[in-house]
Amino acid sequence: MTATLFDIAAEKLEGKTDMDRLAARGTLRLALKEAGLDPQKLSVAQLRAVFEKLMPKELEARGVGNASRICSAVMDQIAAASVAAEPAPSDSPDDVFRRLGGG
Amino acid sequence: MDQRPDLIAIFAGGFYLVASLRLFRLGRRSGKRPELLLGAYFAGAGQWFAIQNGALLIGFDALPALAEQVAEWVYVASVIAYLLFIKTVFRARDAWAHSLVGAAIAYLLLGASALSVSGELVSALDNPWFLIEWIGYTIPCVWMSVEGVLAHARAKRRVAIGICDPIVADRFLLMGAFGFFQCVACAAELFWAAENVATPLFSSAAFRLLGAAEAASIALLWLAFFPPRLYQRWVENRSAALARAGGLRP
Repeated sequence: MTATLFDIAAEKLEGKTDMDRLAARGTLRLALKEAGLDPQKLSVAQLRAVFEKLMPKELEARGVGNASRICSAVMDQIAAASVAAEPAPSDSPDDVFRRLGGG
Repeated sequence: MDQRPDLIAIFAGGFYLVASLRLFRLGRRSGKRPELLLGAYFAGAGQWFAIQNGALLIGFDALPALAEQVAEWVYVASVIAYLLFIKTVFRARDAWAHSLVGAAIAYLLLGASALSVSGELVSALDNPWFLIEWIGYTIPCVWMSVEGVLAHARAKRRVAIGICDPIVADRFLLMGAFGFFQCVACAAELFWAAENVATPLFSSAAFRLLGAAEAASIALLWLAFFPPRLYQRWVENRSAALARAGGLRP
């Protein structure tokens, strides 16, 4: 089965921190929930926004040092690896409701 | 009989038909199903409102039986399209959504078939087939209102981190509110059906409730599909003001 963007991001996060697999996935899940995003329907742009604006705070709350630098590093790796990820569905509710307005 | 709700219903029918044309055009441009499914719903609802109420207004006591049957079945088909729109957009991978759509379609087809076979499309509480069909077309109204409000709540969080347009987040809420007012319209029809057991006349109160629900629905769809520049600016400014005040800050 192809890894999703969520799987790749959690794996990279696990590699860059002392968190185990469960903690890395759980932390990322919490940040995505706070952003109102579904882990199975992520785009790279959405993930980037989460790593820029929410993940540093989540990591700091778990005692991870250099959180912002870790998040940048993870995002750089994801950008390189995301071509191998399962593509996000093109018909997300946001996409559909943007088009309904003629946009 | 109070004719004002009739006029609102005819206007609603005309508006739904215009909205459906716009959605069909958008669907043809994007090549995507959701626009076509929602367009089909508004086309079906629009013809039903316009034909039923237009006939009453120009002096028919009732539509010819065949015309009424055709209008009814086109409406049933359009409600199925509406169910598929909600499922496709919000719950494409959820097994329970498949079951809900299946159940609603079963109610619609069973109710409409039995009413057609009996030859009388009577809206009365002592007619079980009317109630079965009513459940079928009320399900998507409730579902749309719930999904619209939930999607709006999630979208507001995405707006806060800059990955969702405030206009799109607002459109979720508008469609949720549209679903709610369609539920009110369904409830009004039930009130009317309750009184129809005793008398064939429309209840003025139920009729007014139906008219108010349709008027609110038209206003919401207008803002959703034909948003004036002024309204868009208001939504954007409100979102920016909330973000500045920390209301949307993650």
